[in-house]
Amino acid sequence: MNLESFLILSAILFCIGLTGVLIKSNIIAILMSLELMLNSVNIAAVAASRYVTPISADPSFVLWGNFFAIFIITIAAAEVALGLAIVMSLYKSKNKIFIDKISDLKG
Amino acid sequence: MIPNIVFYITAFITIISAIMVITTKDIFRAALFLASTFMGVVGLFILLFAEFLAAVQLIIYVGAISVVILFAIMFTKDVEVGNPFSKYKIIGIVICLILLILLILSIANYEWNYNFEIDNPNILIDAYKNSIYHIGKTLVTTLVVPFIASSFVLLAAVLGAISLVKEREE
Repeated sequence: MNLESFLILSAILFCIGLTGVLIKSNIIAILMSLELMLNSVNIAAVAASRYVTPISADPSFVLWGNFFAIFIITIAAAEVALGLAIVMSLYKSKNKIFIDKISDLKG
Repeated sequence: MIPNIVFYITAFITIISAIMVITTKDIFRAALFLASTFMGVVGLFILLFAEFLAAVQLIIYVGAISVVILFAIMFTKDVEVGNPFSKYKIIGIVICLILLILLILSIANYEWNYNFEIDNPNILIDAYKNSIYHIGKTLVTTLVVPFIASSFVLLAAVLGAISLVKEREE
């Protein structure tokens, strides 16, 4: 258990999430894969601040990755609320949630 | 020794659940596996001495976001159709495998300078023992501008979600 193992785990999670975003066609599945990617970034930030933070007289410098993770969690909550609202209104107006079938902006 | 074993078990559970999220046919089960992945990330945060973040992750992700996603799945009634793959399946997997190999090579070949054996470990001990105190203090002093900005982002998200879902009067 060292920094490399955490970073490699985070890279694997990120690539799984990116694969899900690329290969899924359900919008809710794509949102779930986005959550996976955000979680992997959280792990990377916290692990980096746990192992390689610059040491200064201020103890909060040691916790700097935690602040990144807190703000990322805030943005993720906002993102999932907005994304699911868009999915709901799309489902109400068009009655479909697969991205292969939603091509109104294509012209 | 024991933290290593716990780390490997937690990492295994996390990765297997994450793979199941994108390979399961039933999207409801995929959402349940997503909650399992979040629980694995909670374990990783505890291993990294970030207890406050583990609690926040447990409350927000497992408690709120998974439930909201389950609600959205229930409301959109294509559950039986599941979540099929789109037409970019092969090329997406290939791109992500290449990216994964590049990331692992670059992580493994870099010389990380750990600073555990520093001359003054009291700062580290203080920071991890009183982590909630330091987090709260820094959020309202140094990071007060992003803190307030994120509160505005949350407000805008709530208002936007309400105005998107609301019925329009003709």
